Amino acid sequence: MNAGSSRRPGAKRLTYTALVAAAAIAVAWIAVLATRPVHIPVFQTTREYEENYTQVLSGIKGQTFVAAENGVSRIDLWAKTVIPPGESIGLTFALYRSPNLDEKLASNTIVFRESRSQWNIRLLFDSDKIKRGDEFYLRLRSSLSSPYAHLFYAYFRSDFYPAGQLHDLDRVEFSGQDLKFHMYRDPAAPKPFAWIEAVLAPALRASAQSAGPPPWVIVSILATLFIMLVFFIVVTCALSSRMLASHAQHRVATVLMIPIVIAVVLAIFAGSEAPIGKLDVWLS
Amino acid sequence: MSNESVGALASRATFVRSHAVKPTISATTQQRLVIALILWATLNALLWSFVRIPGAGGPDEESHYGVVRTMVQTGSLAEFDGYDPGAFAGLSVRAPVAHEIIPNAYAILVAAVVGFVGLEDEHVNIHIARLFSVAIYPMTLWIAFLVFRRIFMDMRLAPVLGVAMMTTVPMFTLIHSYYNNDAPAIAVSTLAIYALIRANQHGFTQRNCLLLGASLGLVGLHKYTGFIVFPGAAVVLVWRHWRQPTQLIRAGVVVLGIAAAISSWWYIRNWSLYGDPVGIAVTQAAVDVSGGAPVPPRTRGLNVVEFLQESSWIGENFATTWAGYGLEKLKIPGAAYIVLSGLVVAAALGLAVRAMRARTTFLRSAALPPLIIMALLHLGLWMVSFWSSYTVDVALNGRYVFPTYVPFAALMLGGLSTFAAWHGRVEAALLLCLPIMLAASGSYFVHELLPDVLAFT
Repeated sequence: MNAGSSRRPGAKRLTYTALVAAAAIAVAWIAVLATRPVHIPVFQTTREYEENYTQVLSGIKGQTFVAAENGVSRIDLWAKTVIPPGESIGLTFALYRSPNLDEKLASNTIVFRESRSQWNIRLLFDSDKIKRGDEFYLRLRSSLSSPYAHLFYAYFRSDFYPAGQLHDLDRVEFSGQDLKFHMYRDPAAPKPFAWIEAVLAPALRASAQSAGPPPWVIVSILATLFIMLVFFIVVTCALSSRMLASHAQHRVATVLMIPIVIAVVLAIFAGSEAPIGKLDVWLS
Repeated sequence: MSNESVGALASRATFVRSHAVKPTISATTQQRLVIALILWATLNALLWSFVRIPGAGGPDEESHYGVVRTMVQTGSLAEFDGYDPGAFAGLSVRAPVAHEIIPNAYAILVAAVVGFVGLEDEHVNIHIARLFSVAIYPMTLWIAFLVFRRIFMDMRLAPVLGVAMMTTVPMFTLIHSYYNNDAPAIAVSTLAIYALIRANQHGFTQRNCLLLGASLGLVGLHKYTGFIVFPGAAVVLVWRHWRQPTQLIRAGVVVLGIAAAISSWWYIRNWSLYGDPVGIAVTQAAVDVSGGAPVPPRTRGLNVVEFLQESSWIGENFATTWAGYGLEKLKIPGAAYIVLSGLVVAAALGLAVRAMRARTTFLRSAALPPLIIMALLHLGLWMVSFWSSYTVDVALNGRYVFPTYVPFAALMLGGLSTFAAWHGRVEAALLLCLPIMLAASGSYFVHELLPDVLAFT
């Protein structure tokens, strides 16, 4: 027994109460993340260069895509708004087969009422609408309540996505430009395997593109790293609890610490998928 | 004596026993944690090496591998024959020293193996070359552990956290996952720092001189960024033996003699081929002849402040010490940089407090305090990197100071441990940082490294 046992009983009770409370919050956080839908990354525009922002003057911007895989179900975009008090910007997202607008697949409208330097917009739609190799067009039609309200989209002036083009008024104004976007698909496997797929699928694709080793090598390394992470969580929690709690209580402390550490680990790994600071828009 | 005072004494006794004498993690646990961390780091670097596009695994991989390719094709060391016209036109950087001239004995080994395997597929050959960088990683980490253990003898957790830092900082892992000339320079510099700390603690005995001389010889055969260990070794040697000139000269001659015997052939070759043993002058002349290259800031007449303002030198070097290169490539989120900045500032404050506390005692000590050596090496390299940027080629790459990464980690640990003793609750909390650091490294792989590859094509 060490310093933990020499503290006053009141202080020990406080430590345990804090530990139990933290563990409860951690379990709730884990539950929130566990219930989130899983999406598998398909393509992302470059992270090598900083994006530009284009102001929507015509009212209509768009971007063409080609689905690199089956089951595309999510596209992330970035925008910023400058809106005077009491004003608003309506923005309609619509998916079409092409810029000719001949077949609408899904749409929805949202209203911005505040200025923000960055909106992370996640457009979600049914995965059965678009198949691998399909071309499709995302149309963004905005309506400003005041000439002093401004809407900007993150985009690149260089052609980092040769399969598609940024459009203005449903036609290509300047060739070789693209919206900044991330494209995702639905997982092929149900949870909890979907979480594994979310890591494994892009790793295997990257390895294949890089003339890497056979898939089983990548799978083996990832599995070993995962097991080692679990090992580190359990071992460090056990060691830490021994330093804090008496011999009789350190097992309880270990059990309480593990979800807390897992919650932090998940926040680091999957925090970006949490419904915080994101604008989820379901297109139907 | 009342029950209360007996209890208070017992508490104090427990405190003394558990905090001052008995370390809270055992030496075995310490070693096992470090071995597990090194295993993690090696597997992680191996994974990163497999998923990065050959030739684009990290900065300058294509040109570094080009030297190996030439050696395989010609069967001899690569020779520098100038740059193509306009090779640096429109770029923001010029070459400080040509890859063919800068010492790189490691490339000879890589070329020998790649040539022996003799595969046609260049991509596979690059993957083979990368395996050398991966293989160096565990060696560097183990030597780093030995250094940390010598510096933080009374803090069992500090060496573990030092290795954890070198295991999980993304740029340090990236350097060990693609083919480059930084990884071997880091390894041999770390070995030389270990030899230097040994000699500082136990004196320049024959064995320590041999180890230091050999490791400095290896440093001399690799990238110049590791050369800061030479003046560092001179300072330590003079500090220990300035009162015994005979010993000072004898140890100096032995160390320098061994180092020169191992590495001087490279510089003799440079002299005979280019008339320039280190190659900076001949490279700069070739860059100028190629035409259109950016003019160094000092030559343009900028003063130091104007240069810093123009180049964002401090911010970019700080950012790329942790992760990424170029404008945006592979950098970590801004929030992470804020946390890391806070840690660096806290560590710097801690070191300042330590320096104030120790200012009266260290001048009398026979051995130079290890953290002073670490500060000399790390800050010295930053100064050299800055001067090189100002006068030759603007370097916005924190990796150039990685040969003194062990000193950097030691300074961080030394600074952060100033404010609270690493025992009890503090040690427990720090232990829990290990899986979190590993998770951060894993998250970087998933959220930065893989998307970068998938966006590449």
